[in-house]
Amino acid sequence: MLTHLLRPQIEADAAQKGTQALAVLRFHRTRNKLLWAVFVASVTLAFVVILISVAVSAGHVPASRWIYVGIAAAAAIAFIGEHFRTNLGFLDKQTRNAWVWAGKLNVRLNSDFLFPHTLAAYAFVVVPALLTCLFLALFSTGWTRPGTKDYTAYADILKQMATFAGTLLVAQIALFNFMFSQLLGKYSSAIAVAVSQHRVVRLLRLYVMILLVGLYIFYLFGFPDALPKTAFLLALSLIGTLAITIWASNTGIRIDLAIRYSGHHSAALIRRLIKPPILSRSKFWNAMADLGLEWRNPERMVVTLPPQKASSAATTAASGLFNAAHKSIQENQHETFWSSLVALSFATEAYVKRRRDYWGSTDQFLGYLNDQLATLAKAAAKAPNEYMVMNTVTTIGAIGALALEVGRGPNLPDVPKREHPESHPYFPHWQTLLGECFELTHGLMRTTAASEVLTQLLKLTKKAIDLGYAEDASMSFPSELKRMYATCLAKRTPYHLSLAGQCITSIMDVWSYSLGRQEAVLAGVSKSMCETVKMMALAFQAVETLPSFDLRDPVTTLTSKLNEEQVTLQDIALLILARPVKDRWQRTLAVKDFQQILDLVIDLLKDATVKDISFAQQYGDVFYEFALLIFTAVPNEWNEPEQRAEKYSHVDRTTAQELFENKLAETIKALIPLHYRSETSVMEWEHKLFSIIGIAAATYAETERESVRLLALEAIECYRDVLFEALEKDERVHNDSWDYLQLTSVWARHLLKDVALADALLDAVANGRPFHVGSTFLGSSKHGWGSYGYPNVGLLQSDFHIPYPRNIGHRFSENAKETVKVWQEKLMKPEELGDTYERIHAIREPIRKEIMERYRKEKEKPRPVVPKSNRSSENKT
Amino acid sequence: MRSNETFSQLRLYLQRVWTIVVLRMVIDLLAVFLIVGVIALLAVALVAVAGASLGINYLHVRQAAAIVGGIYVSVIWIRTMRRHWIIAGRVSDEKPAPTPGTPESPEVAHADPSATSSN
Repeated sequence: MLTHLLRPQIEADAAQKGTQALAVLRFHRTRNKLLWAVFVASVTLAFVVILISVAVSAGHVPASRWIYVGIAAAAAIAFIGEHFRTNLGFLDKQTRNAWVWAGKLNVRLNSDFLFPHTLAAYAFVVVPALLTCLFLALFSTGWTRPGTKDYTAYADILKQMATFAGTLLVAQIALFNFMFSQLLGKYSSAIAVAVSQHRVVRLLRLYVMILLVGLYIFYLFGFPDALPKTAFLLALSLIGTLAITIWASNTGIRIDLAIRYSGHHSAALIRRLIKPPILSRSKFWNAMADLGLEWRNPERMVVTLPPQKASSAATTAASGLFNAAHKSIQENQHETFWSSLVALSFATEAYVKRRRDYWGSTDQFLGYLNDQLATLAKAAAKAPNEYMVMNTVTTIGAIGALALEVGRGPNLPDVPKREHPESHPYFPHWQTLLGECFELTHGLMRTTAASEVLTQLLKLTKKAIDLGYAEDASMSFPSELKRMYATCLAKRTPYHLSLAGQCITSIMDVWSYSLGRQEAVLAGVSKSMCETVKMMALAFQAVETLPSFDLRDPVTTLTSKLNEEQVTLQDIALLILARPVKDRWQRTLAVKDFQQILDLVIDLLKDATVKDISFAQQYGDVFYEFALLIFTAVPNEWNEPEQRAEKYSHVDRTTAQELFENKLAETIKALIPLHYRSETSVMEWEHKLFSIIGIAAATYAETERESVRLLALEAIECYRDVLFEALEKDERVHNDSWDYLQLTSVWARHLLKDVALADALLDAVANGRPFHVGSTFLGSSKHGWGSYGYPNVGLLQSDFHIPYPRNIGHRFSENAKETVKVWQEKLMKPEELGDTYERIHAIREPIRKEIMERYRKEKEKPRPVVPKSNRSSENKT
Repeated sequence: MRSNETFSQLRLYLQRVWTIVVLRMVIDLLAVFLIVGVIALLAVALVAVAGASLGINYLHVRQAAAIVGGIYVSVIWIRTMRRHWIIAGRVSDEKPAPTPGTPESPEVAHADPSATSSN
């Protein structure tokens, strides 16, 4: 019925697995190609060697020696080829290398749209031209002067070639200059200039010019006598020039590719202008300086002052690209708009890669980008094509993440790694810019820009954590996200509620990411996230009482694991528990973090239960799973005495385990009356709470730990008191409640060893449970032990069992699963259950017989005879 | 009963011999003949165009093709024998290369944490 809700998640999971499988298949395909390439190469090489040896041996006497040498060489090639062809390790390594090269080529092709033309120009223009020069130098024996017979015979061809070259040059100037200026000039003159200065354009133009000049010189003053023999090479290069000119002109009309190339061109220019700083001078340069020959750029010597020239050049390049982007918005040209942004990213990346080696976070170019991108986002938000603003947001996120790299200075090997948390002065600027974008876009309905803002903010924060700016994650990030979240809750449309859910997803992602970084742990990210999540969830619970229909609301996002990538509160708890602990402070922090998240869950659960809203069900699941983690996964190191002296002096300080168990006990005692009195019945609340109580009892039987005994006993007593209170008020106590009380009587006697309490519970059940005249448990609709007065649980009404932790069960190790299984067996031992049933039966049976006797006598009493006339009048009425 | 077991073992052995030894040998041989044939054709074309200047003729191409074919048939036969001996258990198999794309999962004492997504 609700498959449309789960289907996208199932499909996303399947797609993720498909992606992994596809990567492996692609790898295998490339490896197979390499395998056959090695085979073909070795066979070809062996054939060529043999052919040469056969040909050589035919001209020598005796011939056999050369054939044997050739056969030996070919056999060696064959064996080596076969060795590598069947060596999987070698093929795997080469496959990875091939992928790296293919990736580089792909980047080059995407950034430089005339790159294939350049390669073709080298092959068909430059190589023939160089060969011509070489042949002329090698084979010329003299100079053929004008007026000679040979000159006259060849002059006409020279004239034709010169005319052809001249025409080609004119065509090139007309084609390139006119086309580029007309097509690209309206976007930005800088882009038009960049394309007209492309290597292939310059090469073709220069070659034709040189050829034209050379041919005229030959025509006027004669030529080397070998020229007629190399004419075909010259003709080939001219034809190649013509073909590549036409090809480049056809490709040149792709404005989007031209804009992208402009970014690539600017990046190359920036890389030339900004070189790495010179931190120390070598002996060579010391000697050169003594001679007054130190000609390197002085800007490189001052690492504290970033180079100004590069910043200016980058700003100029960026301004052209911003022009193109604004023009694209005006003309609603999405492809050129996207290309402008990609080009901008190329230029910024090139700038930051070099600029980050200098000190100083303040940067003129990055400040300019921040301002211009804000303007661009505003313009794009008004564009009819709402995808444009999403592209802008993506670019802002990418450039913001790059900007964080600036300011750390050169990476010196002798400087110790910073382990204390820091914050980047420009993180809030980029974050605020994303916040502005959110304000601009959350009202748009045909774009995912608002969602993209959250994604980019997440990436920006993760980058900040990676770079050691963990304070940004603990301070700036939550405050910005809270603002966005408040906007979403104020609107409360389904779309805005899903955005609110995504805010929570971002918080949880950053939280889980930060738990693996020491700087983030020290920066108190966990505490900050706890507070933020609590505030957000409480705010949501204040305005909404039900989960959203698409299961993307904040509470469902926090509590239910609907796909593998989603991070829930339980995942965070697991990460904290699994964090390696070596020193005392690490343990203290880990315990504190876990306590905070446990408090968070308890507060949210209590709030939802008091408000009597449906989220109590989800928080109840989380609480149960947390309890299971406390009983199964708290590391032993967390419970060791804090000081070594404490261990030897037997100082009994409350351990982390006991601390958490006391917390569980308090919460259960608070929850039982709340749940019992709740009007919106939370499904199976008793099942989960009594599972925790049962686990505590079973743990006590194993470890005799006082905290678990107290947990179980106090919870049982609390439940009993709640039932008695209801009886005193003449309220009906449901049969299920008596079932659970009967079960706790078993645990109290056999696991907790509290016979007095067990007898009291037994008496309470025997005397308090109502009798059903005419039927017994054996005749009721209950199954298994349910027929003997024990609870039946779940949709299938099975015997009581410890429920499977749906959200974290897949993370449990085999040991943990085995432990839970042992507890389960302890909680439902047939002989113990039977014993308690017999005791209750022994008390109830005489009472039941007495009631039955009374009932029988009541039935046997003669009914008063009603006169016929009265009977007929009764019938009429 | 025992004869059935022996028969199934024999069938398994023959199946492995067919897939790992014979089939691979046939594929390798076909590939060699195909590649040598194509190279020889190209060489013939070269001889036709510029054979005289390069000093090679059709006879040289034929001899070279025959010798290369012979070498590769020998190499493939040796490999086939080796595969057969591996299956028969007379020599140890080569150490298998690691399978690409196998993720390494961290070991956790009690419960495994969720993987953290990253950039």
